[in-house]
Amino acid sequence: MRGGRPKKGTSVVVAVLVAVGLAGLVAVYFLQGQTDPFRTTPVLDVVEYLNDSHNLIGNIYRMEAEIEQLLAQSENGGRLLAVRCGQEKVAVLVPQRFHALNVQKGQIYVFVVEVRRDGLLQVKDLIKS
Amino acid sequence: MACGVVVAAVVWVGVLSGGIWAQEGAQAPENQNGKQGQGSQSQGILGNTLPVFHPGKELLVWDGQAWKVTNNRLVEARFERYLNEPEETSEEDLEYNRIMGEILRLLAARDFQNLRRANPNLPGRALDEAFKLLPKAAQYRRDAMLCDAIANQVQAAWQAQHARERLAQANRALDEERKRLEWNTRMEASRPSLSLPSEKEEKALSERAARLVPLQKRLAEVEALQQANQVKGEMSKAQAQLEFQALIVDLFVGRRFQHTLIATRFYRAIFSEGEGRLKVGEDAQRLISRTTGMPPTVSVLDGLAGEALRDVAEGVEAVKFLLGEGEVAAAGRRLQEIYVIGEFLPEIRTFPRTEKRRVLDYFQKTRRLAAALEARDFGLAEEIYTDLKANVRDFDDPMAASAIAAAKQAVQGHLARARHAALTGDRATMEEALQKAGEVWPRHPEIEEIAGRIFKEADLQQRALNELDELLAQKNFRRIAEEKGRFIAATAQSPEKAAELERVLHQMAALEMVLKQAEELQKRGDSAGAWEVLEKAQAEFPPDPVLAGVRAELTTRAADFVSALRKAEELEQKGQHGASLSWYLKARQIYPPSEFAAEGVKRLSAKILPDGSLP
Repeated sequence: MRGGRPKKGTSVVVAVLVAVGLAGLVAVYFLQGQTDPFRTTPVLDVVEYLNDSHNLIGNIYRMEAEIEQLLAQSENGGRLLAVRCGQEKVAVLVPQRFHALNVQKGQIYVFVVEVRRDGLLQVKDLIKS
Repeated sequence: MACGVVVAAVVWVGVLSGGIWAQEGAQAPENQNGKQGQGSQSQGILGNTLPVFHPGKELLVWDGQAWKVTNNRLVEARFERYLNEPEETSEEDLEYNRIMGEILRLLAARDFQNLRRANPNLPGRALDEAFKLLPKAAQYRRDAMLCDAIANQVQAAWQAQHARERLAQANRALDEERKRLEWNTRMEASRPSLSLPSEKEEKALSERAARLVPLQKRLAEVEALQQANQVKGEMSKAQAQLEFQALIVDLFVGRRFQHTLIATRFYRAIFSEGEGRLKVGEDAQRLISRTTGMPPTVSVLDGLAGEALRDVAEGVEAVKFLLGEGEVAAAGRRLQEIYVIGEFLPEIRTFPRTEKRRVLDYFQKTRRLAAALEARDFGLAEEIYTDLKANVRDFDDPMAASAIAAAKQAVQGHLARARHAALTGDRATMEEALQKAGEVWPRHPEIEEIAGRIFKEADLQQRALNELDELLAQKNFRRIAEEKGRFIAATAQSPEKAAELERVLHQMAALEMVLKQAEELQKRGDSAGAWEVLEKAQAEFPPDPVLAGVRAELTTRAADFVSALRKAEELEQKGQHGASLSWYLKARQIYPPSEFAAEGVKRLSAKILPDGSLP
């Protein structure tokens, strides 16, 4: 048998692949960062929220939910929406500063919400998914 | 018994006196209370010595007292005793009747006259035969020794007659003596005087005078004896006559008419016809003469006694006929009348007991009827009246019939008022009406029945009302609804209670409709909807066990929905509006038609955005 040293081209290929892969990951990472800016925000456990919202007061979470119904709105208060998050329905308050945002039933948003003292989920930020 | 005899005798005398009263046209007393009428006309013979009978009013007035003869207890008791006694038809009784009949036959006036014409001695023998039978008749208890009394009187009369004859005989002897003395006296007085010297002549005259004195004295004695004997004879005869007449009058007044006839006939046989005039007081003479229109003689009493016998005999025949016709009332009255007269006569004594019992039964029933009317026991009175009407052909008492009818009408009127008052709850009127009904007819069966029923109903009613109050306090409306019939009746007289009961029943009816609705929803598989219906009802209605039970079952069946709502309510109460809203949304998600969830969402949305508007 002939013994021999691996070929240099294979190593390069491998290195390139690794680099590409890494680049790809970085790209993906950055791309994701550009498409999910709230990714660092913890996801809301809706069940936990429903079971015991009092312990979550002041926390900020993100959740992806579908607009179900406009419950109420006011010029100063904003809009109170019923959204479906998974199998559960919760109410979220979209403050007035987001008034320019057209929110319609069936739309899916990623909300960053804060649990208020009264247990209501108040939207801090949102992007359409 | 003695009192009854006396009373009966008084009645008999009073009947005789009443004849005078009627003839004189005097007025009867004003009332039955013993008070005499105005004026002297109301007084009887000898003032009040003799009793006076007033036929119109059947009153007997005596010594200022008046009483109703037909309603006299003593007379009634005596008559009733007679009705209960067996007829006197024993051998002893029949033998006594035969003996008395034989005595009367022997002493019959017609026979006397015929016998006297045929043979002057026969009347004496008939008299002796009759006299011999007197002691025989006296042996029987029924005779009461009266024949002995007659026999004694006859014997005394005969003895008086014999004494008179002896006295007459003595007087005849005395008369001979008197004649002899008179002759001797005349002879002595008419002896020529002798021509003697004056001294001797004077002596002769004085001797002659001395001889005349004893003759004259003896003559006076004989004449006196004669007169005394004559008086004695007259007196003994008069005495015998008087005593005999007294016995006859006594027998007559005592209604011993057979003995009266025997005594009068013995009397007329012993004493001459001209000696029959009764030597009684002037008033008694007037009594008899005005009653009979004849002078008071033994013959008159004989006639009256005979008339009494005839009247009684005919009366008994009439009674038997009336009883045969079923006219017991008339028969009873007739029998009572002839009993007063002829109590001791054979026709009365031998009257059949079975027939007397019919009369007794009638009298007893009429007395019971009167007593029942007096006691206002009109039920018993009606029963007796009906019985008498059915069994006594001539019974008629319109006063009793009227009293019964009037009482029935009055009681029915009061009872109708009582029933009406009970229905309207007017207890005062009801009690008053019952009391008035009781005053009219104390023992009316309906009074007790109605009073008992009313009081029982009142008691039941009161208990029902008490129970209703208790259930209302407990808010046990279902129990009230289950027994609504009883409570409706109990509250009929209480408008307030009735209104409250009606409200409760309406509530229960509505609740039943809700339960029915829930049942229907559950049958369609809508347990959450059924639960919600009941949940709403529970807030509207008072606690109900059925509602609670069904609701509990549905809570299990719609557990998720109910749990979501409960959580939402709980968080809402804690002020966790946001979380509560989410739970309401969840509940609505489980049961979209939920009104509770919709209301919760709406309510909380308004709380979260007070100035917001709902879409």
